[in-house]
Amino acid sequence: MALPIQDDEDAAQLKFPKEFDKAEPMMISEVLLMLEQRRQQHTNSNNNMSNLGIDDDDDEITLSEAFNDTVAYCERFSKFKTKEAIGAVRNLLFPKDQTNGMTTTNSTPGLHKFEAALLANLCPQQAIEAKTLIPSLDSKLDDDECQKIVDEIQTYRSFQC
Amino acid sequence: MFFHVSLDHEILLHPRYFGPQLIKTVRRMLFNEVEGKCIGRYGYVIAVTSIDNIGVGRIQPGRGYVIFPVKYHAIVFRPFKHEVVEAIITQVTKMGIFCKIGPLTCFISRHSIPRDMEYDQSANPPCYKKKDDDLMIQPDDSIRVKIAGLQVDAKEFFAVGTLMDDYLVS
Repeated sequence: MALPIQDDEDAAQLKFPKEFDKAEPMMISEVLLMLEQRRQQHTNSNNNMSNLGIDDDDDEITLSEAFNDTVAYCERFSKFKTKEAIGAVRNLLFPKDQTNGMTTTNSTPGLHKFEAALLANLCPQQAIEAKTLIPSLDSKLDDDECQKIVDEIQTYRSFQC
Repeated sequence: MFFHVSLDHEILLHPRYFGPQLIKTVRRMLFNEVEGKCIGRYGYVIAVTSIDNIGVGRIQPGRGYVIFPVKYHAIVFRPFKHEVVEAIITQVTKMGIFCKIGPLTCFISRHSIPRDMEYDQSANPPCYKKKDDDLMIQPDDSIRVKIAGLQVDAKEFFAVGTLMDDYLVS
């Protein structure tokens, strides 16, 4: 029986269920890195098992359909290919000194972690585009500040090899 | 949106596994039991990234089974209402468009597709396109959609999306 989700969540207003208070939003590019690592680990462990002559089939860990779908999705939409680029974007959007999910540096004044990850995932090219896609940015940044961040993300995106 | 979260899970273990491989079995069962599953309000668990703690097993009275509480970190995928995401089109029909956002299937009704885009049945594969423009929506394209509504089931999320906003579609 499907139930509609309770009304206490709305990404446009940054209202999330309390389970996500401590959750760390991730960029698609980061997810891809971690999933590839996991897939590698998986092939290794299965090889080891067969090397040791252990072959009870039902005990083997198979990667789920959701896993494979997600890898395909992330490969297509990952915007930053190199670890350096991912690190640079993370430093720009997720500064270290954080208090209750709000950031406090000059480069990204008061960006919520969710907004930061969305910016990195969608890579808008103009301030107005960014504000349409992420309405909660509107009250936080004026157009110039927003354009500056958006441009900087685009720079990291174009200077990766 | 993908999140890195800390989660709990209980592993129920049959006594036949009690041996030198015990902890290995618990770890393997955790991977099998949670990865790829959709758990309640957390969304889809895509991959376990670390197992933080395997607690003390507790024998179930009268049964011999043991429950191990496990704490772990995982990557989860959780869609939110009014979030804008990119999606891969899987199917185009007269009623609307089906697309995939990672593990999640999303339906975009004909009524949520801009009016000036028309369904073209004669094209192969069928697509939606603008008359005066090259803009087309066909299977395997990437589009931006806004999630308009969500339903949670025990095992799955269902989403409906909309393309009726600026900067969506392409």
